[in-house]
Amino acid sequence: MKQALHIFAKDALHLWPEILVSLVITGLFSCTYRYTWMADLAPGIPKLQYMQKLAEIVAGFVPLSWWILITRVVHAESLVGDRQWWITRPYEWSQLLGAKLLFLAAFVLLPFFAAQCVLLEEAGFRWFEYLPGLGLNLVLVFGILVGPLLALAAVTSGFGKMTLTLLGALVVVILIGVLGAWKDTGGMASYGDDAGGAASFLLVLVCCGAAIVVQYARRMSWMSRLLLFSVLAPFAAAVSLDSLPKLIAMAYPRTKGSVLVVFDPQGGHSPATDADNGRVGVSVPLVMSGVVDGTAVRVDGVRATFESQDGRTWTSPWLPIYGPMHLPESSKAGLPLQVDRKFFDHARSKPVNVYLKLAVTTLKAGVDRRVVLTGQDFSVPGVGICSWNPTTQTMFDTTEVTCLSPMREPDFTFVSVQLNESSCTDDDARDEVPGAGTVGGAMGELSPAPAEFGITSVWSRSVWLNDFGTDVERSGRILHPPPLLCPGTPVHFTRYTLMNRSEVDVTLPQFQLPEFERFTILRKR
Amino acid sequence: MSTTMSAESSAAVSGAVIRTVIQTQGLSKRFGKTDALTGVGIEVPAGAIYALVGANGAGKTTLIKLLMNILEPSAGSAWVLGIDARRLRGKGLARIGYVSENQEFPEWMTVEGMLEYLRPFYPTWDRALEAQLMRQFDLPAGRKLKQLSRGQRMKAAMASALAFRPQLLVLDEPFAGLDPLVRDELMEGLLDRAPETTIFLSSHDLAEIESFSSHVGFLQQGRLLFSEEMGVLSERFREVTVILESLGAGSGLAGENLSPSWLQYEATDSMVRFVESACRGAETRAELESKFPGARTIEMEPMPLRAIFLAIAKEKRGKPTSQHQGAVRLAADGDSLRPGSGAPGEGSGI
Repeated sequence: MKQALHIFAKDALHLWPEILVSLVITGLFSCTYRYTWMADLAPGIPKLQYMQKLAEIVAGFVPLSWWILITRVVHAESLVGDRQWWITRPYEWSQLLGAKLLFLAAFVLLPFFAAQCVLLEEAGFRWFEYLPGLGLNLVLVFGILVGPLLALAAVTSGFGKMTLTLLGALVVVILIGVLGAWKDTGGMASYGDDAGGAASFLLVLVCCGAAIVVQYARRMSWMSRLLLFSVLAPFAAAVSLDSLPKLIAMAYPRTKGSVLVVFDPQGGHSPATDADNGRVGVSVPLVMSGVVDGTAVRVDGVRATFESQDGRTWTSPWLPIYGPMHLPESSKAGLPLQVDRKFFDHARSKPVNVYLKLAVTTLKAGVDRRVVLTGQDFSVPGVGICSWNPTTQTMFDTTEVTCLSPMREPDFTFVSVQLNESSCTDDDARDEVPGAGTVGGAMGELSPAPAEFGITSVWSRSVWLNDFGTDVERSGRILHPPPLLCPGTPVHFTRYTLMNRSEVDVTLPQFQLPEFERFTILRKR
Repeated sequence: MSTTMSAESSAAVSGAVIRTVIQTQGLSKRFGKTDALTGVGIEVPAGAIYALVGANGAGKTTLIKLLMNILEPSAGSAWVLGIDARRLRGKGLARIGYVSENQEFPEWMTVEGMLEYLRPFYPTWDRALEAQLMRQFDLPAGRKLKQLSRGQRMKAAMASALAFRPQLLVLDEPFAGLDPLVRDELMEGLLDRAPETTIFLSSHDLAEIESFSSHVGFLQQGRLLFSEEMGVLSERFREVTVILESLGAGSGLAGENLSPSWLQYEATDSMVRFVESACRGAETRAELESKFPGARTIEMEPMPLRAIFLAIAKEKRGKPTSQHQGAVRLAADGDSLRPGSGAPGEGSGI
């Protein structure tokens, strides 16, 4: 330990300009980042928007300053090459590595921890109540950012080579992403991947850790590089082997007794629209039944096979669905599909058979918290500190509730409310009307972890509570001002937890593909 | 070998007196398809000043890097202060000073800062000696290493390698490119420490090492041609000039009549000249007299190191003079003549 402290002191003395710059950037980050959520809470204020942009730029500089600091401190005792003066001195490799880790803890992680605490306090949270989350985020930041940078610096001999290697690694990551996009495997990747995410994190941690230890202990640069870059192999293999369908099949097993989904002939026929990758977007009206009380169903993704009259077929990749939650009382929804443009043109004149595979998540309703809006901030357990800004709906026609959550996305919560028809009166108390329609939206994640990887410790999430309903004519033009959310209106925050995931198969025989039409929203006040 | 680690080397580990400071056997290093070092076997006794000589690219630096565990051998083994060189790290390096002409130093440090930084690494660091070396080498304490001349930098490196009184000092071309004054200063500083330190240095400047080396090893194209005590080497080599009484008396000497220990054999009608690589004094003279009965005079002159190396190098490169037919056996892999091993002239090496 004595040697580690000695090396640490040398590095701190030598790299004080870099340390100072990094500390200043981290300090600026902690001072400015609050503007990102302040701008969310009060949109339309130019100064806040300007400060939000500035805060985002400063936040981008934080990892950049770490990159420079990590590279400089590791290369102070470069591990690559055979001319470094220190390699023939009695350095203990464990002490040297310890010194570097101590340096990173002191000048990267500790300032970052302090900045996280400041942000929590600024958002109205007591930082010491979130120590497990703060600790976990430090582990995640180390594993995802600091560790890989440390490993890259350990297997390179200079700043230029480190930069080139980093750029090379980024190119490979981008190529894997492009390959994934080309194979349409990326969209659904974020669903059902809690275990996958943890496995990926562990893989990165193990590969980087092994590369660092091997390099410090033996200075076997090629072996270390091999270990480090082997981290990309499973991702590349997963993409190139087109393994996403298998992963989705594992995450969403086919089970009996789940919800029933059928075509809704009364659901209207939306026109087809342009979509990415030379495809046409088609909306299929569905009715979802069998959603039992106390539960909700969310369609996470869909894969559709279209079969034309002449036997020609086309199967879409798994596509994510960002649709509404299906509650027992609200079971109709249009399911957006994509179909190949050539197939669409070929098969449009006659009905086609459509075979759908839906990736469905069933959620169990938990605690329901009723909050009466007053215009003041209010706290919702499991979510955080929420607020509602009445001015936004008069200025922008958007009715939204924004919540700040500590350390992670809020618990998965469905926010629902009964909107007022046209204008708000001075009435403070507004009763809920039984049987009247509610609007709602979901926020948050089903992950139970106390923290998510992020440079911020405060997550800002909004739920839009707009209901344009039938006031949108076919062209998308809004005919009347939408209903309003008024002070005194009770809002429900219902927490949902994961019950199960399953695949639901739906067959739509003789489905007539709609006419193609460009669809744009025009607003009229 | 570790087989083959010697008893005295083993003893070193337990802190007993070390008699063999460096020992290698069949040490080889390959870079891709290039053999940088092939089957090198040397032994460096404690207290020796061992000079490893050879032309540029002969493999001197590679050998030193293998000894210092900077590189890993492709084959063979090396033991340094009783430690397998492949395990030489950490505390094991606290007894070894290393200076190389092409080391990358922490340029931002001052001379004083560097010494201060290194001090805690070495339990045997001697601050009085450090101060003495600073004075002796006339080092500017507060100046950054990047601001030093090449000579000053080498002196600073030497001071940092001597101040902890190392048991072994390994120097890779320490005097290369230095002006004579700096060279003398360094050499003086080095020789002051010689009584308590084994010195292993590489050089391609033969004149420079001849004056103070006790042992010498000669590398050529990655192979060790010989490794032995300087005194033995000097005694072993003689430049022989035979003036013949009558014309043509020696020119017919060929084939089995040529000794394998004769190098660079040249013969004219009136004179024969060669390098005897296995001289045994009077015994050799008697043999020569019998081989050249018509000789008017036989001169056997001692040779400077440079001349010895040139003779060996030319022989090895296969550029003997025209008439030389003699077969010369050079040191085979790992069986080079070691200090004190074998009697000169027994054909055990050049």
